[in-house]
Order: sequence, then C-alpha cells, then structure tokens
Amino acid sequence: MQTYKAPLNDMKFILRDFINSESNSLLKNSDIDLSDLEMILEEASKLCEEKLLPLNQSGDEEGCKYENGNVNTPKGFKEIYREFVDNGWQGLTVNKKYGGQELPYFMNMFLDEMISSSNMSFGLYPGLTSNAIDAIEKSASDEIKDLYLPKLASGEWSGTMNLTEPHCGTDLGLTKTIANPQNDGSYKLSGTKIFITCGEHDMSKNIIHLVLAKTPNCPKGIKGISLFVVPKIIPKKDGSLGERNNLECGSIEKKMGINASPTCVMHYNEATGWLVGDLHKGMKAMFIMMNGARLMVGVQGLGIAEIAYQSALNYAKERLQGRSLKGSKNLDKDADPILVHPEIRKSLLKIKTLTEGLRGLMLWTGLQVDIAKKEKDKFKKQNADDWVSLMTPILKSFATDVGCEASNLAVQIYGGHGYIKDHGIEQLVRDSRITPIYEGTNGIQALDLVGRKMPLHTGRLLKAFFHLVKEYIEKNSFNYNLKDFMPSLTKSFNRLQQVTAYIASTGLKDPDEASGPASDYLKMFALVATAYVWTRYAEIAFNKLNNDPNGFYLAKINSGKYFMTKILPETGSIMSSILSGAKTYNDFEDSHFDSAFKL
Amino acid sequence: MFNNVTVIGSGLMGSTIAAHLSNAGCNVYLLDIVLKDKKNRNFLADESLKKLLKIKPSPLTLKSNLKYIKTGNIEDNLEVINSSEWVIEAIFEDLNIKKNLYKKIEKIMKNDLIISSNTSTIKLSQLTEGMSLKFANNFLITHFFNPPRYLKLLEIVTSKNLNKDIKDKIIKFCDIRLGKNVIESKDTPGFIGNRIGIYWIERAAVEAIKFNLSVEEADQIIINIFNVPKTGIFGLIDVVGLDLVPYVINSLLSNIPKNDLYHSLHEKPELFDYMIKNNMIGRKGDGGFYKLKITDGEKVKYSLNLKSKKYEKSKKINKIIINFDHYKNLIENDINDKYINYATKILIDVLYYVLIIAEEISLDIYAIDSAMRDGFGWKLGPFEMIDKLGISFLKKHISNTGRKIPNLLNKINDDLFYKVINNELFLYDFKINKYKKLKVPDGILSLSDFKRISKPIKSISTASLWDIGDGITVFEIHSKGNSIDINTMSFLDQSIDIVSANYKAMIIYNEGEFFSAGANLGEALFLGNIGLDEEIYNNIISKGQNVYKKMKYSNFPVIAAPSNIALGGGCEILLHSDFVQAHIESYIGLTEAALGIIPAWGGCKEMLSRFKSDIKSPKGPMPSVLKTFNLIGNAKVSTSAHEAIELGYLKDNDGITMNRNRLLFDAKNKALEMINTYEKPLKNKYFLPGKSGVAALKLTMNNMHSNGLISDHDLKIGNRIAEVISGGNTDFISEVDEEYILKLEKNAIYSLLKENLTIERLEYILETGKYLRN
Repeated sequence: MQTYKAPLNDMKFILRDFINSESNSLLKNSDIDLSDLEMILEEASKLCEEKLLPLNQSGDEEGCKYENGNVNTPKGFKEIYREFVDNGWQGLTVNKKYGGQELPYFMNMFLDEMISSSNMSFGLYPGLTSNAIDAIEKSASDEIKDLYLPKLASGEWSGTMNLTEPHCGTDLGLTKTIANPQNDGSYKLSGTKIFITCGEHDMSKNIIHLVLAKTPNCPKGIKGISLFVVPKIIPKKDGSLGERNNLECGSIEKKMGINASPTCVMHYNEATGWLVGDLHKGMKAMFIMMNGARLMVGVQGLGIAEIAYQSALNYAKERLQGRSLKGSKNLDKDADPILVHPEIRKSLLKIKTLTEGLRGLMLWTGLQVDIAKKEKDKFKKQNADDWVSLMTPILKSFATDVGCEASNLAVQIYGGHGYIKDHGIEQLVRDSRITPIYEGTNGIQALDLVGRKMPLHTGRLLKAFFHLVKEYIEKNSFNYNLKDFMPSLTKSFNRLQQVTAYIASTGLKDPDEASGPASDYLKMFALVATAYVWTRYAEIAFNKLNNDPNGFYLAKINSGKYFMTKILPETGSIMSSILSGAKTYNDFEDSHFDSAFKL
Repeated sequence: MFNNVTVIGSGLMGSTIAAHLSNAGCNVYLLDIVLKDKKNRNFLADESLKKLLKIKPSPLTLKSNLKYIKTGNIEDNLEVINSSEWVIEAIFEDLNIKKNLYKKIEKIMKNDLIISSNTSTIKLSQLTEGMSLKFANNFLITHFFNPPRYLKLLEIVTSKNLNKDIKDKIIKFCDIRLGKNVIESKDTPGFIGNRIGIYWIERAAVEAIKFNLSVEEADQIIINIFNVPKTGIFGLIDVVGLDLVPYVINSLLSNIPKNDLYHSLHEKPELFDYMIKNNMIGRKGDGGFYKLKITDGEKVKYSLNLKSKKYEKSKKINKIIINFDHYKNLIENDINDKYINYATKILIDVLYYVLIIAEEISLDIYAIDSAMRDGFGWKLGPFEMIDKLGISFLKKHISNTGRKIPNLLNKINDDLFYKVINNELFLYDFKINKYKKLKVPDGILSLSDFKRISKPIKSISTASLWDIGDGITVFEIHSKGNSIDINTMSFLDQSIDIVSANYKAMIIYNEGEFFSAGANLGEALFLGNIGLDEEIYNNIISKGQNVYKKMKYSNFPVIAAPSNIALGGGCEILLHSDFVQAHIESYIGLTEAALGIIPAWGGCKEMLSRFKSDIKSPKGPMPSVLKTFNLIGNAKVSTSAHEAIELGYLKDNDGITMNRNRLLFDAKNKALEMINTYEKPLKNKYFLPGKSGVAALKLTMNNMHSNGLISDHDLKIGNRIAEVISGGNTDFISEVDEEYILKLEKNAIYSLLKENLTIERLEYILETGKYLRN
C-alpha cells in the first residue's frame, strides 16, 4: 500500500539545524520566523497526507479523458485544486505585489517534495503554473506582469510551457511555430506543440501558455527564437475573461505514468499572443525559468524516493517470510518480518541515506537561490548564483535517478505484490520514469555540467562547491566525532578534484573525451556532494546527542556511516572508469553494434 | 651599409620613413619646401617631426630616436644630400614637381649618391625621362608601405641603367637594417602590391553591397578566406580613408593598359559618394563603415547599414561557417550559401586577375605572393592559394564566369606552383616554363623549413625540441598564445636534460604570433577553483622557478629569440637566458601586477640583480629596489626591443634583429659564438633594505591611493611587491640569496591568487583579452 507521512522530523532538522543560521538572517526583515515556517510545513503535510495521497492511485487508474478539445481531470482533482489554491499554496513564494506570500524559495521545495510524494500527477498542474509565473516575472513587461501574475499566483488561472514540437525537443533551434507581428503590437501564432503538460484541463478558468516561436526572417537556429504569452481565453484589460483564442488541444497522449495529468498536443491557428522579454531572446527567458523547473523535477525524484521508501519500509515490517539467519526474532509468529534480511535492510538504507542526503543538498541549493536574490555583497551573491547553476544539472539528474532506483527497489521489496497493481507500488516506477526525461534528459544535464558549467568562467562555478568542501575538510580533519566521516569524505573529494582536472584538461584537446564520461562524472560529483551533506549532518547530530529522546540524531549519525561506507566508495570505480578514457565506446565501430545478429 | 640618409618630403610617408631610418640608427636629414608665410623656413619638416611623437602605433622604436633626424628645407639645405649615401624622395605624387626636384638634385649630386623615389603610382621610365645618365645610373624606386615601421613589404623597381652594385646594396640595407622583405617589381603602374591590392579591395567592397551583406559579414568572410588581420575590407578602408580611395583607384586606372580587366569591372557605388560628401570617410572623419560612439562612458561600436546608410549597433557575427581550409570542401558539396558564393566571387575574380597580369607585373610568382603577404597581410599569397585550391578547381570556376582560362594555368597544366623536391622548395618559373629553386637571401633561417624536412627530438602537444644542426637546438612553444602550462614547463625541464647531455646550446624561439603570453593563467585559475592549491604551489609556481633556475645555471648557453609579445612568464624566460636576440618588434613586460599577481618565476629576483649589477647605480640597495618597483608595480611593457633595453628587460649587450626572417639565423650565430667559451653565471647575492624599504614604498603608494590613482586592490598588490623586492624582514647589511627572494615571490603570489579581486581580473582577461581595473 502507498504509505506516506511527510518527513517532518527531517525537514525541520534541515530547516532548523542544517540551513539554520543563514536562513534566519534571510528572514530578518520579514514578519515570519522559523516557527511560522514549521507551521506551514505541518499544514502542507496535512493537505498532502489527507487529501492528495488518497487520490493518487484512483487518479492513475482513471486518468484524464479527452473529448472535443476538452480534457476532464479524474474524480476529485478539481475539488482538491480549488482547496489548494484557496489556501494560497500556489502563491507561496510569489512576490507580494502580485498577491503571493513571498516566502523563501526553499519553502517551495519542501512543499513540492510532499506533493510529489503524495500525488506527483496533481503536482504538475500548480508546478507548471509556477514555471509560467517565474518566466513572466523575470522577463515580461510590467503590463503583462500586472495582467497575468495576480491571476496565476492565486491559481485562478494556470500556466503551461510550450517548447517541444513533433520534430524537435532537445534541439529547439528547429522550431517551426511562427509568430507574425500585428499592427497593434501583438502576434499571431501558428503551429503545433506536443508533450504539453496540463495544456488543457477543467481545473482553472483560464490557461496561460508560454510558447516558443519564430518570427518571419528571424536569425537562424536557436538565436531566432522568441517567447510569447498566449492565453486560452484572451483577458480584457481589467483581467476579466474575453474572447476564446484560436488554439485548442488536439489530443492527449496515452502514456506510461503520470496518468492523472494530461500531456497535450496543442494546435495554434493564428492565436493571439504577446512577446515576453526581448525579440529573439526567447531562449534566454526560457533558461531563466528552466533552472527553477529543473530543480523542481529533481524534487519530484526526491518525493518519489521518499514515498517508495516509506511504502517499502511499511511492507518490510509487516511481511513475514523466512527466518533471520542468526536466529528468529519473532518467535510467536510463523516467520520473521523481511526487515531482518540483510538484502532488504541494505535496500532500505540505500534509499533512506540517498534521500535524506539529497534533501539537504536540495534545500541548501534552494537557500542559495534566496541568497543570490537578496545578498548585497557582490562576491557572495555571485557565489550563491554559481552554486545554483552548478548544482542544477546535478540535482535534476541525480535526484531523478535516485527516484527511479528507489521505486524499483520498493517493487523488489514487495516482490510479486509490488508488480501487481493492487498496492500502487508499480505506479511509482511508472510515474518516476518520466523524471529523467523531461526538462532536459539526464544525458543533457550531464553535458550541461561538463560542457557548460565546468568551463564557464574558467571553473568559477566549481569554486562555489570545491572551496566550501575544501575549507570544511581543512577545518574538521581532526574533529574526533567525525573520525568515521572525514577520511572517506576527504578521499572522495580528492578523487573528484583529480577527475575534474583530468576532464577539463583532456576536454580541451578532445571534446569527446570530456563528454563521454559526463554522466559518470555527474554521478561522482553528486555522491561527493551528498557525502559532504552527510558529514555535516553528523557534525550537527553529534552535538545534539545529549538531548535525543527519539533517537533522531543517533539515527542520523548511523545512517551517515552507512552512506560513507556503502554508497560513497562507488566514486572509486567511477574514477577508474573515467580515467581509462572514452575510446572503448567512442572508437567502437558503428558496424560492430549489430555484429551478434548481422547476416 | 648606409649611415646617413636624406629624405625629401616630410608628409606622412616621408616622415615615417625617416623615423624608421632613425630606428635603424641612421642619421637622417628630413627636408621639405619652404612655406612663404612662415618665419621658420623648416616649418613643414619641424612640424612633421613633432607629429611623429603622436602617431599610433608609434613610428619610432624609441622617442629619443628623434635626435637622429635633422630638419631642413630644399632651398637652403639641399647640399646635405652629398653628405648622405642615399636620398629618398617622398614628395607629392606629381611627375612635374618630382622632375623639378630631380633637376636640382642632378645639378649638385656627387657621383655615387643613390637616389630613389617612394612613388606608388608613377613609372620609373617616366621619372627618368629626360634626366642625365648620371642620374639614371643612380636612380631606382623604393616603395615603402604605410606604416613603414610595421609593414614588411618594400617594392623596388630598377632600370637597366642602374649601376649594378646599387640594387644589391639597397636590398641588403633594407632587408638587414630596416627589416623589410624586399621584392622586385617590373616597371608597371601600381607595381605589384597596389595593382592587385586596390583591385581586391574594390571588388570585395562592391560585391559586398551587391550580395546584400552587412559590413561585419563581408569583413568576416574576407578575414576568414584571405586570413588577413582583423580589419577586413571595410575596416581597412576606414583606416586608409574613403576620401583617398577614388583618388588611388583613378590614378591606377588611368595608367594600366586599356584592355586591362579592371576597367570592365570598375564601379563606384553611389554609397561611397554619399559617404565622402558627409565626411563619413573613416577614422579621420566622422566615422566610416564603422563608427565608435561613446555612450555612458563606454565605447559602443556601430556599423553602417549599406542599404539604409544609417548606423546600427554593430552585431557580432557569431558563426561564419567558412574559412579557407573548409571552403573548398563546402563548395565541392555544391552548397548554395550567400557567404560561400560571395567568397567564391571575390576569390575567383582576384585569382583570375593575378593569373592574367602576373607576367606583366612581376619577374616571378614568389614576388607576387610576398607582396600580398607582407603588404596586405594575406596569410597565403595568391599562388599559394591556387596550389591549395587546385588548378582544376580554379579552371572550373573561371569557366563558370565565362572567362577564358588564363595562359599561366594552361602552361602549368595540372601541376603545383610550388613543390618540395629533395627537401628543397622549388617554384614554377613562367619565364622558362620550368621549376627553379627558391632563392633565399643569406642569413635567413626558418624553423618551418626544419619542420618540413625533419622530426623533432622530442615533442608534446604544446612544445617541441628541434635539432637545427651544429649542436644547436630550438625549444619551440606552440600552445594557444604560446602560453606555458604545467606540461610545457615539465617539457622544458626534460629538454634541458636532453640538451645538457647531447647538444651544445638551446635557442628559445617560435614562429607563432606571440613569443609567449606567459603562464597559462586559465590552468592556474581552474586548479584554484577546484581547490587544488598544492598543485598550483608545487607544479606551477615552484616548478616554474626551479626549471627557469635550472635553465639559467645549465652547462650550455641559452639564447632566447622573442618577437612580438613576451609577457609575464614569457618575459621571465628571457630574464633567465644567457643572451637575448630580440626582434625589434618585441613587446616585453612583467605585467603580473595588472592581473593582481606578482612575477613569481624569478622575475622579481632577476630584475633586482639586473639593476644591482648596473654600474651606473649609486650605491646602496634602495635605487635597485625602486627601479624594480617602478617596472613591476606599473606592469610596464616595452613598445620595441630598443625600449626593452631602456627599461631594463633586455641588457645593453643583447642583440636586436630588424628583420623577423633573420631572427633565428642571428640567434644561432650567437649560440655558435658562445658555445666554445661558455661559463655558467655565478649565483647572485643580494643586499636588500628590508622593512625600511617596504615602509618607504608603502608611503608612496598610500599617497597614490589617497589621491585616487590606484585602487584598494592595486594597493594590496603593490604592498606585496614592495615586501618581496625589499627582501621581507631582512636588513641591508645581511646578505640574502636567490632562494630567499624566490620564496618571498612564491608566498606572495600564492596568497594573491586567493583574492577574489585577483580572480576577477584573471577571469576578465581570459574572457575578454583585456585588463580589468578593480
């Protein structure tokens, strides 16, 4: 059975102890303090546990229904959506000017994690709206902001992103949708967009599409792309709804998972739209938004991993099979719970330690988003910004991989009962499987890390991470408490330095040598970053052991030891693989790929 | 060799030729006419002399060279020509005015006075018509290109009357003393360079308008296809001045044969008239094809829209798909692209023209190739390009234009114009329809010739060690900007061992654009960013110090032969060499301070010892510290090898080569001279002022800082330099050794490399090529 309680203990630990000092200084000038934030988390947990989780399986089974251009969402979704927006969750971090609550950015990460755990499909509706708000707020004119943002922030209207076309996804330079300028300053857009999440549905009064298109005679390729806001119903100046725009949903996809959210084919036929940001700078506007969107996909991975863990743990405690090899633990029953078996324990600890470690890394990154926004000191601001740029591909990629692995491990722990539909465990596998694909595949994330983020400003982005960890190691190398942590953190960190220098220098001579191991490198990076988080967790926990009635801190230390000894050593094998070069696959003869069956 | 030269005519060409003669150490008389309304009868020449100090880039290798130039006028002082060995006439381009002057000269000239004209348009036969045989026997054309100090081309035209030793004397002098690559042209209008160059410029400009290209697009295509410096065509016209263009073109057109192809292709776009009318004549006017406007204190580049005639913000051309090497591939695939079609049009029009006039204007194809390379900055001459493109390619495209295949192409059949036979370069001689060996003047040695015939002793991707015979080796850096990274430094280390064991001397030399831009800062910055500080400390800073030291105290002479830029670590390699044979165009400096760091591969140490050993220095440690501080603290870069001596980067007895092509030869000669008597230098000992010196220097800097002359970070860097070169905590009665100063250098740079503002400076120069003041 899908089992979920929001991990409030862990979230509060992160909020209070892990990102504490800096988050407080961020809150200084606002009327909100730490306990308010904790209360918000508690409220969110209720919504997710009590309202969203019960609709997760039913929504998956029922799916969305397409009929004559309309999309009907599964039973109960509309009502929950209303409650969700009425309680102001959509505008949690949006500027007060537009009716939001202007809470720190990282609060959205906590909220999104809970939503993704309890009902990932549902989360996509407000999630896409958040992306649209982000894009409009950062790039559009005041006129557009004033008209659209209040309605989007209140959830009265929802938003979408329209990038992909039938012939192009990753390579948006090939975009064909055309936007013809009109005399009144608007544009008429024509073309077809596919894979548009929540492109059409019955939950909000209006849907605001952000569409990438090309103007006539624009520069070739990616440099000719512009971003447009194209509402389903054209609003009047006062924000009330006017005429229906010339666009419609042609069909929705049948797909593997996230069935309660519609994936739409959108047709634009001379639809009226307005330019967002500068002409031909659509990719820039899109990239500003994309960083946030990518982090949020990472959060989905985290959320799925959490529910997979809790569901599997619950089952592992209840399911009685076999006996512990060291002697029965459960003499009054016919068998011991499967939790006694090492293989089950290792699987559970793997998910637990990756999830908790990643949660810290994710929230630390969320905190940097806030610092970059508010910090006045030029170099500190830049450092925070660099951290976010650097960690975005790593978190998107690694957290979604962890989500997939965790849900697969959960199925494994459930065995046959996980494979059949009844328990809802296979749904986690299906739902999570999209996360390594959308918002830039994980392969693209790895190339972004190695090809763009690593060389940018001669490695300046890397500095944000490497210097933080290096200084931490220098400061704590003789910390007795951390004797089980520092040696392995130091070792893996040195490996990462070495491999980074190797990739940077070989990449200069042969780009294939750098791009080849990109995803291996990304994983190695993520493991070391997570190890740093675990070491800091342990450092904090050791100081709290004298007041640990529920054993939370001791559990942290022991989880950390598991991570450092059982998960982190993988950096060694990744390093050997990377240092052995890319020739074995890059130089492999194309014709040899089918050597086993070619006639 | 000449030591006294008279230049008549003090206009831009005359005065800058005079300046360059002074660079070569000649005494020069610069004469012009008398202006009636001026009291000063030498007014024109005197004014020109003053202007020489303002022209950029400077025509003088040292400002003080002006002392070699004496001014006068042709009414009172013409007799000075007889105390000269050579007279260069560079007056107004008018046959009658020139002839009048010649008549005066003819009357008083001594028998062996050599006379030449710097005319660019008038034929020699016209200039000597009606002159005495004595005059004609001593007269030739020496056509310098503007600016004479920097453009390597010199065209000469001689007649059969010319006394036979004069030609050799002039060629030798212009080659060795003035650094020119001298080619001989036939006596035809515009000679070789301008005949082809002016046609090329007009074709490229006119067709760009027809092809609807922006000035940036056209310039970028021309830059890529002809591999010319970054002005391109429109940028070049802006430099020359559009107002002069019609004049130059008409002068050429009125003199070339009636049936010349140029007549039929000549066009004068209406746009040019419009621009001239509106003073849009280029840099000296109110903008040209490009225009710099200053908005908010920042220079913003605008370019002219060739259609609307309005200025628009200049757009960077992000990606021009073609360069010369890719061009042929692309066109073989029949790609129909505006850029490629434009490139083809210009390439074929120009190469076709060269093929049909080659025999008319030149004695051989090599002179034509040299003229375009040295006078117009083409990377390859026309015939070298034809060899690369292939005869059949050219035939096909010439046929496509409906033109007849030029004779020269038919004659050569499908062969190459240049061939390597038995490791020697041969060229096609159209006079005899055979290949002949390329004659290279004595004293020219090029590394590329060794590369053609041999393999390096050892090589890595960024550097190679070559054996150039007689026990002499060349250590060649060939990285980007010829910067020095960890691997290059290790390779130098190994090379020192190899030379020490098996050879007699090492010349540090390369034929890249720069001698060396210094340490690979990107590598250091990246390693710093990923926290590999030990790597920086050990493998960059210490290693560099150790290898340079090892080089200095090796058992063989090391001769560095720089040309162009030698900065930072590239300068320090010179400082550790036994002898420097520098090309006159060497821009040498310890620029570290401008980047927020200090010289730490022994630069501080070497400068201190250099100024110490200067016997002219008054006693006491402070003068040498001050001199070193002025140099390093201000990150001074020499504008010539002469200035490098004056600044102290080069020693008084270091050698200077005027002609780039002779640099390796001169360096090798020096090496051969040194090997027999070589003794390695003695270790330096220093007496430094210590804290009192630091205090004195800090006082000055604090003043500068409070007056706003230097930034907080400048002050910090200055303080670190002061501490290093004052010797830290020493005092002036304690002797310290080289190791001591090296350690101070090392610690200072290591701490500065951790400063955010230093990192910002390094990032900035790596991304923009410019220095950041912060």
